[in-house]
Amino acid sequence: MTSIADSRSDQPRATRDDPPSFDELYAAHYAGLIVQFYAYFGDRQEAQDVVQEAFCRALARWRTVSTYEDPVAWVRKVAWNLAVSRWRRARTALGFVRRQRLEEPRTDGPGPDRVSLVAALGTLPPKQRRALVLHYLGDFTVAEIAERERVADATVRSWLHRGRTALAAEFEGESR
Amino acid sequence: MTDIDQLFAELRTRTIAEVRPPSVDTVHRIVRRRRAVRNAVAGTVLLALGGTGLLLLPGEPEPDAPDPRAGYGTIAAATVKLDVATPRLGALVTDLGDGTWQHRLELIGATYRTTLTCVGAGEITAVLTPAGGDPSRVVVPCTAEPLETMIDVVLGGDLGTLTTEVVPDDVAAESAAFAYTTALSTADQDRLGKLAGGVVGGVVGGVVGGLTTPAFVLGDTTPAIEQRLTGAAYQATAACAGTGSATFTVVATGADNTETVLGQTRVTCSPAPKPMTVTVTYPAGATALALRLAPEADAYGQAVGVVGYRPT
Repeated sequence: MTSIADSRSDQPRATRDDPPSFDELYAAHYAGLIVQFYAYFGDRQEAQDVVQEAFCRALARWRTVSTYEDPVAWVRKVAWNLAVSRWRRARTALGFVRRQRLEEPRTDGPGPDRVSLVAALGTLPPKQRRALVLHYLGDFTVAEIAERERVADATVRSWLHRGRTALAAEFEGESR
Repeated sequence: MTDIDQLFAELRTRTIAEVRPPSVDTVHRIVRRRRAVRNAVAGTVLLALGGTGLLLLPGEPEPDAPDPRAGYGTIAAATVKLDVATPRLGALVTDLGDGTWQHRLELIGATYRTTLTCVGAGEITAVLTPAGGDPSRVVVPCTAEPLETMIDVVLGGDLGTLTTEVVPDDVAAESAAFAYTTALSTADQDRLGKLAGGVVGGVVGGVVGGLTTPAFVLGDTTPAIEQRLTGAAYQATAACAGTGSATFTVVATGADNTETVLGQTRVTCSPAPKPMTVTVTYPAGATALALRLAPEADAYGQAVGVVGYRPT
């Protein structure tokens, strides 16, 4: 099976002369993207919805997207746009309730650390949560997050700092 | 590695190990179905409009078929009267595939009416957010025959940003184009028109042989006085209420339709407009005197002008 890690430096092809096939891109990056959106939504089904929809949109315009230097970046951007839109539309209000139960029908279920981390992320304001997920799971630099969110680098550093502090406090509280 | 780093690394590793991607065939199937829907909609749009040329029939998708959304865009722009060549107070979007679309306009504080339309299939949600104000949300259906949806937004302060964000549903993302325009409300046009008209009237009003235009919103079509006169000296005056600036030009038209600029000045548009006057001598051989107030980009659609003249 093809490697499934979604690393920003792990592009399926390096040049535009040899573009990846859609199927290769899908196999290589689907799971890595799911991790990011699972951490953001706290709900794997929501994550699958946005990632699959992003891949559908990529396939629909694959002749163009495949010529991009980094096609998976386009897919990731679309998925994040969808994720943020869904959040704004409060669709995830129900997801939040489901998240508390953390139902994982296809596996034995995440270990306690993952449950704690995903649940703790769910308590953060969306911007802090998004910054942490992009940074730790999407391997975005501070500058890249700042550009994506249209804010100053210092703002992103502040979100990351406050997010980390809040997570640490959450885990300290749990360990007592 | 800190504890937080470890937790994220563990989340990544173990989740990736557990995820079983759905078959890529599923994605191909969804896209084929959407293309079929889009092509069916394209046929419906053409039937609705009695169009010719592009013909896409429903049924088996044709991957290399031309994207009908360009045609939808033409219809959408015409519906909201958007000048596609120079879209200043509006926009046309024919591909919403990346999920969301956002546009910002710097506007004078006033009430605005935004007119949106979406052509194709699905629906879009438009969220208009004035700086410092509450967002207004409207759902716009994407239809074969274009419908206009209007929403009024109040922008406070002297100047501010009006942000328009559009989120398509999954169908509209692949099968629709939308366009919108934003315009000053009629009440604000009247308010600004009275300000500009009062200023020009103070110079021209009550003088025999003088004339002023009705107030007009500065835009692509610049109203002007085109008046046949007798040779004499004239005082031409313009005022502009709103924001930005405009160029006031006084032109004489000759018998062979040649134009001679007799005078020109820059006019600042402001909530407290001031008269700008040029004195010109109307040439004996001219057939008409024209007064024109042409907006710069920063005044387009956000200022109301009045021009007038009087013999000196």
